Amino acid sequence: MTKPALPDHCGPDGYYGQPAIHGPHWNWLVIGYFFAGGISGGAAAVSAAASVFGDSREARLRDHGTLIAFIALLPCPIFLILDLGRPARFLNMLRAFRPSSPMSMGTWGLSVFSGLEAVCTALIVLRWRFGERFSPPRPVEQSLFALNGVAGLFLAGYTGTLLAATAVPLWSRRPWLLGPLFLSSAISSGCAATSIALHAGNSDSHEAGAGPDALTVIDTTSSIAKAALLAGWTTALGDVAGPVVSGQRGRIVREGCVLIGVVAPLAIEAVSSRSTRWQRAGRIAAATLSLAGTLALRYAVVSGGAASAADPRATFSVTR
Amino acid sequence: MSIANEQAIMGFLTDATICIGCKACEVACKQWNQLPADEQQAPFTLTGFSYDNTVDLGAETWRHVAFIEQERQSDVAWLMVSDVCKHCTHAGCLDACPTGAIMRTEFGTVVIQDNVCNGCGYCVPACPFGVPQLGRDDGGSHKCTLCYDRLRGGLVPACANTCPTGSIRFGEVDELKQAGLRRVAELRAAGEEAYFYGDDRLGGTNGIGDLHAMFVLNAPPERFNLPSRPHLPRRNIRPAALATSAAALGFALLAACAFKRTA
Repeated sequence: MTKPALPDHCGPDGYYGQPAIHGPHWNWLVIGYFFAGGISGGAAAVSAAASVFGDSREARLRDHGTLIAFIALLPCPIFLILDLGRPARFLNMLRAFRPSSPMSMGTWGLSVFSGLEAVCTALIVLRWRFGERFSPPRPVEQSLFALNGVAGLFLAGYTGTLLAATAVPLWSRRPWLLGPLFLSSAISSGCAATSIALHAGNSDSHEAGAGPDALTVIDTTSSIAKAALLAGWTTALGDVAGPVVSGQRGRIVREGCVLIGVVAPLAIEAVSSRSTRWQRAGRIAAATLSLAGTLALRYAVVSGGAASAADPRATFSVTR
Repeated sequence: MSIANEQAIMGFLTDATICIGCKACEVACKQWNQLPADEQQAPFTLTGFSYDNTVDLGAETWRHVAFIEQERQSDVAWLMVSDVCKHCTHAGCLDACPTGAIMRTEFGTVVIQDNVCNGCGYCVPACPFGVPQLGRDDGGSHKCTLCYDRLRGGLVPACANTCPTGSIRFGEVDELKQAGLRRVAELRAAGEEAYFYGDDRLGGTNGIGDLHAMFVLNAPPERFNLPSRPHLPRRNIRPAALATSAAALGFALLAACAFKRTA
């Protein structure tokens, strides 16, 4: 009897190339949540910083940051509820408080942040409508904005921890780089969205040639930190980096996240800030590209996780 | 078996060396737990040249018999083992569940309460062994319950009850572990390749603790799609959260400097 030839994929390891772990079901809803939640948390943090560290000239930045945070927050619960397999049971999220589950902590964090953000937005709207009549004393208001900023930073950062606390090789391999990557990209996207709101509404908010304003300093620094952390993360991932460095997703990371999302905005900012005429348009263009880059990053990391989970060699390379 | 006040921790020992690949465990499990037929890619799929049509553990398959074709000098030999939820001492799915739907029972097993689960799906990638999965139609997460209903009624789990060779044994975890280690020692003494999967050397590593469903394997774990030294995902929370907090502190310092400088 002749010996039957075994299939090619029946190598010495693994089971016919079948995944060794199950990947997440997360799709554009979760990508959208990570993107919008990052903008919201980042913008709230910038707004809080303007309130606590800035003087009265930064009131516009504080107000716009908080309003952008509020607008970006609105779709978040909708994305999260629609993503559930059983959306009608979304309130079950609040029947447990579990520090071992970043998703449980995130739900509570999002709830607290939503409440604070609604109060801060209400304060701003009341001031615009009625002047100082309903404004609380300055220390009280500053404390509220500061708390909102801390909750915003939590929302901006916990998603990285949520992905790291799984068995997916791409997400779990370097937890101490993934967390800061998510926080820095959230802050950069919060700055970008706030910048668009500031410059779209008013043409003479900042004078060219007066040196970079605080928002630009934070935006630039967080963008550079994001690019550096992304480079460090993909390098440190070693042999499980495949899903985010090769193929189409690798191109999205290099060209979308780094080139369009960081390099191009910095270049536009550097060139346009010298010209009074072009500064405003340059700021809006740079911020739009930066937002697109962060969206590309969210897409690459979330969808790359599914690809990583589907690859048994990646799983076994971290479990030997 | 009786349910005493001091309930013993119960589990499985599945021995690959005496599995004949009859798949009675898969059938008994599906029948007792009223699980639907597997989702099939069209056309009907089998792995390799074998009779494995269920391919993987999942929402509809809580016991999965793996068939591994091994090339010998003159022919092909089969390795077979019935895979199942490991009911870990420290379970990734249980840590991850935000609703409290996943619970630890009095038997030490890990069970998803279907009437609580809201289908968030976080337990799915949080399992180091790829066990839970969201159902196609009902949106909830599903996996082996170690026949919690049968145990409550004083019965042996359906798969262990039906296994014709004794490959699937049900009993107290401590006794099964001793039996498994003895079996591996015997096989090795006879010159066979054998591994005990489910203690802190293999399978129950890096914070997971002893598995309540253990295995005697006659090939390295990866051949059966089992990770040798998996990690408990919860262990990543601390480094990720500390690093994120440090980055947040960095942001606060940066913001303080930026606003002071431009003020």
